[in-house]
Amino acid sequence: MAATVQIVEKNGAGGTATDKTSGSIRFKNADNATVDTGNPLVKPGAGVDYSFEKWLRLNVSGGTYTEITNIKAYMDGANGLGSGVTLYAKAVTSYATPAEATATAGYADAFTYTSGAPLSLGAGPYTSTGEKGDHLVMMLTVGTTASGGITPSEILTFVWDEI
Amino acid sequence: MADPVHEITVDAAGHRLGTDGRITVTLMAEDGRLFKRRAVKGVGSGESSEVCWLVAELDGVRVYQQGDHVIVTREEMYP
Repeated sequence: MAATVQIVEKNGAGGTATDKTSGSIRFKNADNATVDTGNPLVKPGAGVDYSFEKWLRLNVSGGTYTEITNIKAYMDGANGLGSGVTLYAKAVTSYATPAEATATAGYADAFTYTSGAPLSLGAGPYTSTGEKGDHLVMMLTVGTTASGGITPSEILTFVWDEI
Repeated sequence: MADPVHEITVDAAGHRLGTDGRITVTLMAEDGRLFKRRAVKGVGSGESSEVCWLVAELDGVRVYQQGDHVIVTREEMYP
């Protein structure tokens, strides 16, 4: 048997979780899980426009397993989002209502986390159902050299060990 | 299509074994580790896929098995 695992996006003061395991995640200037063109990031005349944070977490919704350990996340190492668009990531233990980022302090470029150097989201061991490990908090900036429109998708991987 | 998730059990001789239903890896040592390394790739892209590797580790050497592919290494590897 195996754990049934979701990757959820959390929004609002209560951290309402939306299953994004096979869905899309849209960075925008609002705190919601809706994939639409509302509240877009705007290419600035100077500096950068910050997105709201995306709070993602591994959630065990069912199944049977003994323990989960070694939760990590990483990108493919190559930013394919386009010129002037940067994606940032960090690990945070306790949930806070997603806010519009105002600085990159505390974050690292998400594409520096690769399969050879992933971001740790908790060693565990974790048991039973529910959310496990740290949150993966991501935000995106749009700079003056960005092009308009929706960016290409990128490849985010969540990985864990399980027995 | 998602990878089959391996099943880890113990055989009659007390050895831990993992199988994807077609290939079975048996760890014939009490002090080694046998676990699944699972992943969801492409989270948020709308085109995600699930991956499962079986990992047997003994004295710092790891055997990673997925489908017909087997890698023997001391390296930490992720899907």
